[in-house]
Amino acid sequence: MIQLYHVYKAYGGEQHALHDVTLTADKGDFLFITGPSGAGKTTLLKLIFCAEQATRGQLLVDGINLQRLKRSGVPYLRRKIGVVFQDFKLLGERTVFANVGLTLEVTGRPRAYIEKKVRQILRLVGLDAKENHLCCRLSGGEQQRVAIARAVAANPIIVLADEPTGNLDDEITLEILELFREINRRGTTVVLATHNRELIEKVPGAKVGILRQGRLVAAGVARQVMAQRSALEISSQGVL
Amino acid sequence: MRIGLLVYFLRKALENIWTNPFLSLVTLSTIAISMLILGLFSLIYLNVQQSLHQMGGELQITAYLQETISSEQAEVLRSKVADWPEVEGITYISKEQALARFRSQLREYAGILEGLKENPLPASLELTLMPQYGRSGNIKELSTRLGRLSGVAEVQYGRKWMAKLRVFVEVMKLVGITVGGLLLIATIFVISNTIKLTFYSRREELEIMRLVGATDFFIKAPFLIEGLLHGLGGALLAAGGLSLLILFLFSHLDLPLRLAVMAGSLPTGQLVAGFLGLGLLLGVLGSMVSLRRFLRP
Repeated sequence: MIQLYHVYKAYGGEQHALHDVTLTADKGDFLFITGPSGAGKTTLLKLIFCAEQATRGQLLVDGINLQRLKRSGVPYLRRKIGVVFQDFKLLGERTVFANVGLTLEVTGRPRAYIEKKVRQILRLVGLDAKENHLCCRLSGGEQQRVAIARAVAANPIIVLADEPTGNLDDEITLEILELFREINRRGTTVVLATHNRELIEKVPGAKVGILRQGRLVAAGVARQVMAQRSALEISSQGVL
Repeated sequence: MRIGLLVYFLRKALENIWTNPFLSLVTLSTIAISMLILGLFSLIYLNVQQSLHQMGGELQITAYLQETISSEQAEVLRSKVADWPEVEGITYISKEQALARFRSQLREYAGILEGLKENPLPASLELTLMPQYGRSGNIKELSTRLGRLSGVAEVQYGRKWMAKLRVFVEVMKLVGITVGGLLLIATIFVISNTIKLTFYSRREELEIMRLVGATDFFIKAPFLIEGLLHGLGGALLAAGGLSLLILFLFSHLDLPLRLAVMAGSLPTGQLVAGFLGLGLLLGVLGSMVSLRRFLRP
């Protein structure tokens, strides 16, 4: 579903935001991208939904080579990918309904379909009672739910989420994670960038890719990778 | 394109207009005033040109004949001049006809001729010219040629002012095109600026739309329609304003000119259609100018 081969991304200077990253996520995978701040997690997600272009390497999303994708093809690729942004990117002065419906509006769906679909999604994220509320009046957790609802409204095959639980308390974080698991259970590939390791442990069977200074330092099944990393950290502390 | 989508674009365009009512009003007024000025220029130009065209047929040169010339010689002269390509018609006016005409036209002065023993009025040839030869250069050249013919004493043409009028019309046409061109460019600029401001006020939403998969066309279409509506609205206002102005000229001013009569006879439907067409074009061009800049990758 998502394949990255020796991907590099540089922003002008010598320093690479991503350095020789090779990573894959299959259909139905739940992939965590983790690492400290500035490791390149956001850049990696941006490459996948064509907000940025790789400096070098090959990226394939649903069989489409992004390096060869024309500008006119980008919107159609983005319709296959739902994105939950770190800063939500919601229209604060618009209602919950309008924000979620936007994804369907841009595909030219008829009004009746949009109404039905948005209500269905709002039920899924538990916001059906708040469809007429302005987004700026909602709590952080609720805004995150709206962002998730918008990301999944058009039935994407991939959902990308950038630090979706960054500013939320533990209880809400678990609820949001559960939402992503539900989306994943319905067959959607989920790629979730987070620096919160506890989150990774709560999703059995998930994959993980660990980035450090733009390099992929470990990748594989989350439980194994995390166990190896922990052992490594313990042994290095022992040496010290 | 689906009707539903078109309705959606139209609704978005109206929302844009509604979001900045003052800006829209200023845009509409600017378009209307520009087009009104342009319309006035065109109207005056078309009228004067049409008047000139009609008067072209009346272009007349009179060649007064020498006293000694017989009517047979005059007939020879008449048929000779009648063959010239510039000449549309030619009439021989004998001394007697000239006197009779003088008497009938200037009845109150007829007395001054009574004391005379013989008719002092000369015989003449009256030429009307083809409209296409109505330029002053042609008339002058023809007069000289006529004057050189033996038997012709003097040549007169009383429409020198027409040549000046033609020059005036040409100057007006040039000024009209220049001013009109500048006004049209200014109008495109105003529309493009309005679209730019609307675009700015909605840039956050447009950015999100793009991120969730909106095509450039989908983002552009409401702005194109907004420009189009502004152009159309301005054109309608201008057409209305011009019609009111014509009505006002008719009813309140005692115009001795053909202008007023001609204005009434101009095809109003064509004028309105022209205005609307121009408005549409300006609207689309105005919005395209700004959208091209904003949607660059």
